[in-house]
Amino acid sequence: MALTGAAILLGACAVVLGVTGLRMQSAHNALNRAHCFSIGGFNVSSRCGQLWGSYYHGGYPLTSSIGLVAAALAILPLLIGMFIGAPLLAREFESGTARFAWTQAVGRGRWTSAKLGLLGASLAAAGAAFGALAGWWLVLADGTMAITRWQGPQFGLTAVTFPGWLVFMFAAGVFASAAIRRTVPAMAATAATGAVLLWFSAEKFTGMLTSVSPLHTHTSLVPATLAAGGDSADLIGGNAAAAPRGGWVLNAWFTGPRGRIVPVDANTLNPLWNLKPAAQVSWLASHHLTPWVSYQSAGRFWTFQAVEGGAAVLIALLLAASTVWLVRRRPA
Amino acid sequence: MNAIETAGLSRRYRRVWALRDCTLAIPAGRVVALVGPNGAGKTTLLNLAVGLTTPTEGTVTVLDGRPAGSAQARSGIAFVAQDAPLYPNLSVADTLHLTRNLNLRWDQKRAASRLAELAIPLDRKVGKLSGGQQAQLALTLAVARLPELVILDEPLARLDPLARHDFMASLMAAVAEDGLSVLFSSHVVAELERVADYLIVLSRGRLQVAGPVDDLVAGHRVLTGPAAETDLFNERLAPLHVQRAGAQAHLMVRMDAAAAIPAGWTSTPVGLEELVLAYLREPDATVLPGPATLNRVAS
Repeated sequence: MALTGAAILLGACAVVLGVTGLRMQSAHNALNRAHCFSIGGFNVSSRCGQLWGSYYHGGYPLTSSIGLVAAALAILPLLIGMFIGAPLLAREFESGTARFAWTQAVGRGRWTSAKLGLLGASLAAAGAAFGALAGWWLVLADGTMAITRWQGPQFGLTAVTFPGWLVFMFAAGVFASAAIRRTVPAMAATAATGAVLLWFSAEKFTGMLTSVSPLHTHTSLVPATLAAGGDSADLIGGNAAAAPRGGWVLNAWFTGPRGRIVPVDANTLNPLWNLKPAAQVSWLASHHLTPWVSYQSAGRFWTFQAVEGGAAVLIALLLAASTVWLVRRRPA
Repeated sequence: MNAIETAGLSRRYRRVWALRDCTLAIPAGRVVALVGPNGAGKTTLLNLAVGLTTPTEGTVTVLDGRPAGSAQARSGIAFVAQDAPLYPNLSVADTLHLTRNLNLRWDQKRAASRLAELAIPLDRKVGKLSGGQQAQLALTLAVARLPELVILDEPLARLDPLARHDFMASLMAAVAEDGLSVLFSSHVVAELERVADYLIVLSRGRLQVAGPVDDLVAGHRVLTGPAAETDLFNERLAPLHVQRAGAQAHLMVRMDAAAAIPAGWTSTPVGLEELVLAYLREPDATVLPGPATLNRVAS
């Protein structure tokens, strides 16, 4: 029952993401064909404006609240843990079917391992496919409304982290159900643990990785608006500096003529945005300003992803082993 | 060969002893009734025998020395737990399929023909079957595993009298066909005589009576005589139970038919139900076989 529900839920989300994603993809391709992304910025012809509008509306209304969409999708593993993981053994204890299943010739250890293994593997496969889809959709939707893929719920929505979360939450639910043996308390324990860890992943995890993985510091001669696709830090003055494409800007600042950091407020930079790229560079030079950024390079993204996904799978395997151990050891 | 052997078997749940110092040797090829009031430890004993629970103290082996709950023990024992729990959302056919995959030995033909005889539709969800049909399905699954020993926990508890009768008839037919051993618990004392040939009585977690029904019945008599003379017997025969009816008294005593009785008294045979009730009323009285029949671990 819960399995069917989960399949329908994931399937429905996949269809919505697929349809809106394909519409955005074709609009994006049209923008490319029309050379709307010229070197040095976005071509502001009416044709390009029209295409941009259709891009935005391709994903509408989801693209208007993309953060909310990412948060909703990131909660799916929690629901799987609650509604598939937590009842898996607890329901068997409550209804007494454990006494039927555990006294068959195969025995309780193999019965539990088989349930865990089959469901876990299916969830991992479904999660990888769904994560790939969600990741693709978010990158497309990000084109219409800048978010960073390095942080927040969207970090858990790729082909690497999403299956990790699914398998982990499932294993946590099953472990709770083996330890607590009652469906509702096991669901509550799974929900509480999952919520804390999801929050940690979204808010703290990559920040922690950043503290152990040194930042690149770079002087950027090209202001942010010129580097299409570059993620810029939302700091005063930070918008004027961009990391290489796909990187994660953590800090941005300007240095003055003597190489010292100088505070620059947004008003000072206002004239910059009306200039053509070449003129922007000479405007900065004439004001003796050099933009700097510190960032994680784009290549680290998948390293961070692998750390989170790998940790999730590893903990899931440990939880599964503990579950089987508990089931074998404790009397029914 | 013994179907079940226990030595000093005890199980404690937190601070309560559910079963205390139970030493038993149940021979194979018997239909054993395990009787006792609620909370006597019947389910605990059965759970220990099938390996769902582990002993706090003592040992339990099944089918000639296989440790309870081991793989060899599981393949030889089919267990039908109380209320015959099965997956309610599976169809009958899926339940057969599942059980076949969970076991090494399986007789599909037998299962199918039994269900056909009982008119249980294969495509029906288990949850939609009647209580009697669910019990029969559980028994069918147990028998189709071709076990040496079938253990049933309160198989009759939730069945109406007709379903009860049909269920016991099915069980006896299976016993006759395969010569398997059966151990079932029950708090229904009536009707035991027709099916069980070995009796175990548990009371307050302790073993009270264990032995073949014929020996037990032959070893007890009801003596009827003047109530005033009852005290004569207190030392000599230690009556299990004394029932006074006006000037007359009925005493249940442990003696065989050949034993001499005092003048003025008559001796009549006891029924199994009467005997069980007498023991249940007197939890301190015991009839246990001597230690010679047990492979008791020296302690």
